[in-house]
Amino acid sequence: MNNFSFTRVGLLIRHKIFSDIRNYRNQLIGIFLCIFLCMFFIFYNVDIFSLNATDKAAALSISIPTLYFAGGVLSLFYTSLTFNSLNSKGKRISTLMLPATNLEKFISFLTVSVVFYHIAFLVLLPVADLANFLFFVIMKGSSVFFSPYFFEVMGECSPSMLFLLFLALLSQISTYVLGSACFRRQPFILTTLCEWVLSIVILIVSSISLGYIGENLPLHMIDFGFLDKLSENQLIFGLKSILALVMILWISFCLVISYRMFCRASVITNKRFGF
Amino acid sequence: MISIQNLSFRYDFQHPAVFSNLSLEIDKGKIIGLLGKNGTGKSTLLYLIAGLLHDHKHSVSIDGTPSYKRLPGMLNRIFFVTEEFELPSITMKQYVKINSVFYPNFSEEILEQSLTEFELPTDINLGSLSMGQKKKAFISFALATQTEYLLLDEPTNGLDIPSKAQFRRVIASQMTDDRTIIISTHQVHDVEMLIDHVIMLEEDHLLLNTSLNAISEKLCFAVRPVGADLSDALYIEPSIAGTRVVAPSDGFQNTTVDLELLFNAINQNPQITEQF
Repeated sequence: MNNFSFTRVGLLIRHKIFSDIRNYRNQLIGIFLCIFLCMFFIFYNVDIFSLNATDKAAALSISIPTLYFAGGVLSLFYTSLTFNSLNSKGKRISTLMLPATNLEKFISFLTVSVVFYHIAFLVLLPVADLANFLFFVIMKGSSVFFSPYFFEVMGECSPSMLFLLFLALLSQISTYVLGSACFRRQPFILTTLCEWVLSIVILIVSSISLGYIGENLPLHMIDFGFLDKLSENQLIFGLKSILALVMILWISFCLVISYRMFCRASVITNKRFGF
Repeated sequence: MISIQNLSFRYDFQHPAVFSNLSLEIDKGKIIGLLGKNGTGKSTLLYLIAGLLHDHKHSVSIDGTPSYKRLPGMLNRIFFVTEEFELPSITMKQYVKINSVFYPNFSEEILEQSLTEFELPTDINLGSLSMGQKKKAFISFALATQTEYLLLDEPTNGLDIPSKAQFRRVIASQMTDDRTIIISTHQVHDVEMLIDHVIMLEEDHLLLNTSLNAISEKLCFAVRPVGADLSDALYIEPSIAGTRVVAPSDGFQNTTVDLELLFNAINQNPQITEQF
């Protein structure tokens, strides 16, 4: 009874969705409109498909990242709603009193806010594309589908780069999961602000530290000759590995801390912060 | 059994302790009235029992399981009707479908009986109900879960006068020997015909923890005419009908316990509790 159960995770997901079904329906409409409007303004402002190959590539290089950015922002926004079941006292009580383990509840929250969003995005992308296609066919007499270009960009990346991009997305998602556990009000805005502030602080601290190391430590006594023996590919692989490791550590840190905060959640908490 | 051993709890260091070394054991098969002035920690005690608040020493356990762990095996035996609750804007049928699966002993029959007693239709939309109706629907669901422990925090707040009588009937009809119901309230008249055990809290400690039988064996509650002899009274309170009195029982005739009078008497004269 007290062991982890995937059946209960399924029941919790169903409970979470059906308890707030109107909100989730509105979220789906929001995702659809966001994709549709992004595509619409790209198509409306630049008649991409009547351009020659060079101009078309240039136009796509701007328009596709716009859609990626919009999708990414939406992804992080919905991720920041991971712990919205703990926003009010009434919701906290009904969530915490549900007979399931904390881990099952945590996984069900992540599934609804993270996994379902990405599935919804991938499903709604061609739907919005079709709506755009029909709209421009009616208005201008011709149109083309945009979605294939969206996925084409991914196909151009190397597997290792795709893996790094995937890890980068997961690190961002984990950061916003942690933000959702920390901030009860406006978790998206506050997490974004914190991330910016933290990035600036890290940048300043690391540049000062590096400057100090350069000036005060006897670096001339260390033999960096081994770097010359490495090929460019080996160096890039090494850097990618370090980057991947840092991101995996950050993802683990964010998820573990978020889970621990959820386990310690009580009914009386600060109205703004979850700790 | 709910066991509380040397519970000390405070919300933060700026506030005084809500409980200091509070010990209490609550057996099964009782309807317990949890009474106390505002701010004495009635709701806090229920939150601690349900595992919704944590004390550092983990002093609260239910049938041997520390409640702070919030394990499913404990949570499916306890249901908490809080004063502040939220029901989703879905039909009762959908609500039952998504929630009843977590409670192995859930009974649709009891749900229908309770809803009927509360004069609510079974196919209601929870989003369209008034606050009082929502409370009645929630209490009906709570009873239908058939959990061993049912915690009710101010259950009669927001209920109209006929609904309070319905509430008493519904609770009494669903009480069983293996069930414990704890009702926290400051509206003692609403529950005095229902409860068989009373726990009174004051500041950070227990003021009284005894059965109504024990109280009625030791004390008598009466209204005496103005001018009557009050020399034996432990507590008096003037009223329109005469003087309400708490006095030692004569040992021959048990009177019905007047909880409000007892509450006021103990608050003014805590030494009364030494008799139990």
